[in-house]
Amino acid sequence: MSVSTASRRVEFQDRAKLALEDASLQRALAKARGGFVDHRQEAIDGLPEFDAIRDAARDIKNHVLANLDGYLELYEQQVIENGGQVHWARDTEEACQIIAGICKEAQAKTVTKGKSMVSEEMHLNPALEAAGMTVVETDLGEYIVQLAGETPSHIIAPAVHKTREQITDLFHEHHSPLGYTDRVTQREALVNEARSVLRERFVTADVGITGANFLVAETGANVIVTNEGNGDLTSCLPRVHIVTAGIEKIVPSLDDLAVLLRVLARSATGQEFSAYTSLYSGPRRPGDMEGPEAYHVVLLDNGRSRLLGGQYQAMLRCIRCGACLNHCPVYGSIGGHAYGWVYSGPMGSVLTPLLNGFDQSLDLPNACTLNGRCKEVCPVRIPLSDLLLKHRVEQHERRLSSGLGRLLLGTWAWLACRPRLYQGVMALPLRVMHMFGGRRGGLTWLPGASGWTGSRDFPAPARRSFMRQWQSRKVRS
Amino acid sequence: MNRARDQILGAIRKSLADGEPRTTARLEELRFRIQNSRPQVQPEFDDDLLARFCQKHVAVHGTYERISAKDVESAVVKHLASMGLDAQWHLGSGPVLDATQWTDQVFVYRKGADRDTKAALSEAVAAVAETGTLVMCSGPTAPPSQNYLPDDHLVVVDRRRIVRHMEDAWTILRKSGATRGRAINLITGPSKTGDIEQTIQYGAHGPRRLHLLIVESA
Repeated sequence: MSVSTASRRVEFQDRAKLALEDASLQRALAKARGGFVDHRQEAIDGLPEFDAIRDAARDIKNHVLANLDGYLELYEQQVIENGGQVHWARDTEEACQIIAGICKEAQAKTVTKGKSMVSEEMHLNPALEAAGMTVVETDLGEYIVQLAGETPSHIIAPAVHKTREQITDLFHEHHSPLGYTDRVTQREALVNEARSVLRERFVTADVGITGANFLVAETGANVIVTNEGNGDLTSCLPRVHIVTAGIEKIVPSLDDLAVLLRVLARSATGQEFSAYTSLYSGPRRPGDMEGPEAYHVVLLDNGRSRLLGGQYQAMLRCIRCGACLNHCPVYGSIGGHAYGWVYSGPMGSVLTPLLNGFDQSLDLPNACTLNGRCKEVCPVRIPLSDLLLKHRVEQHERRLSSGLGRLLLGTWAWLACRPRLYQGVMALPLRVMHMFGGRRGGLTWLPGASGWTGSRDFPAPARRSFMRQWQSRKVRS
Repeated sequence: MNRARDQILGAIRKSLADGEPRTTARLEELRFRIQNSRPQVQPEFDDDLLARFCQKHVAVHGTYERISAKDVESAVVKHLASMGLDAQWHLGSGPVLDATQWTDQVFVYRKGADRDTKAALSEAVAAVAETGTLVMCSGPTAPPSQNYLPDDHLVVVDRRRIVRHMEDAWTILRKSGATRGRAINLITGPSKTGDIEQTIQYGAHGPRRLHLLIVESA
């Protein structure tokens, strides 16, 4: 175990290092950095009630989580009443089996997909491809990422890590065989080409799979929020519509939904409202001239039920807006792929160990400066940085943190509980450190701490400790 | 499958502090909360809903004109001509559109849009001043594909249907039974994407342009 733990540790650090050295990734991240943050701020400045609405959003989510089993039952009843079917999946494998089964029964050849993080969590695309189907992501960002054979690097901007030049190359490579032989480089032309290629996919797909930003217990509808309209074409045109969602996505009523929608778009993209917010429930109704003949919802647990009632329950309030990613200096430096799984940034660092196991991705909760911006901007007030600290404590308690680190911490704690001894032992190193770094205020090198001093100075201590200075001042006065 | 359902619900109950199975009475409590749900915190703004709605609609790249009910056809024809389009479109339904007599100068297709549809004309059930949002409901004569496939989407809105907040639209939908239909589409501006270099580009997959005809009641 310690070997594999060590190798995973290196993996994250390697990925982060690669990301920092990846010039085009850094270019793409630099381009994205300010935009989301500024737009969100503008949107919030225009809404004096924002904090009160955030409180209401948090309370709604807490209320749902405290009654989740009941609301799931009510929601299920509504879906059935609308003519739809609800499937329950304990884990991602079961979810993939259910979805592949529905697609096979529908004799599906082509499946279009709206953006869905939970389907990324399931690794649904490879499962459907293994079952012989062609899967087409239709969100432009997801489509780009799919062509590149990659995974999304941001929960709302999947291709944020791609530069226009890279997208140009991808489109040229993949669209040339379809007859789009001109190499287009301008943004508008790229969007138009993708529109034209994907339009064909939309109208010929047999099954459409979307996620759900929310599931409304009142009406049995799934809610999807997009700007492109791809989620709607995926929901409306194919013969079968499948919705994938985590069990925590329920909201009780349409009025509750309104509250959450007021914080979602503002936090995500800085819009007051996304271009398309749609509620779909059940298959086409009698008399409707179009719409799917069948409607399925696949509810995924995958460890979520375990988090209820525990110290990480607040994480289930997450509405996947991406604000914490956009405001995180670590995410802003290394992008999403370095995190190693579908969820990245602060919410990913909290959620990944909870869903995949504590001994997985040990580095994530530590890849954080505890600056607290994520917690500050969260629309449902998840104390993300506090949860990351809890992870660290838990790693320590479960002896998952590094042996050397635990030894040093233990020694320090032992010393710190003995003030006289502590002051005696610390006096000499303090003096030496002051001698070497006092004048310039920092040390550029410290034995055994090259990890710190490699990229920044270690602050030099004062010549005498605080306690000593305090004592001498007390004597003087 | 039912085993998975029972296990998941069981796991939830076990994790929640009280741990007890949900009784019928408990479900009734939750149902009661839903049925009596009320608007919570709402943004405040001044009373000129029409002005607010138009301002928000323009801010998201929409266009509009105010017309009287008898001028729907001519306004549509004129707008399409300005786009270089013929006088033909896919037609949705609603009180204003259903009451309109189309002349033989135009072709209307009462069916869902297809991959090559240039223009569609639909009617909004409500319009929300808070965000400049159109509320579209699906029905036998109102296919949602008209909202997403055309290059040009024209929407008729009865001025009296402009409401203050999203919750006011829900009230209308609940009363009319529209929440029982398959689709409620809230539309705020034309289709767009920011997926290439986080720069907005209009006309991603849905309509490139969204034009409103705000109809003054007689």
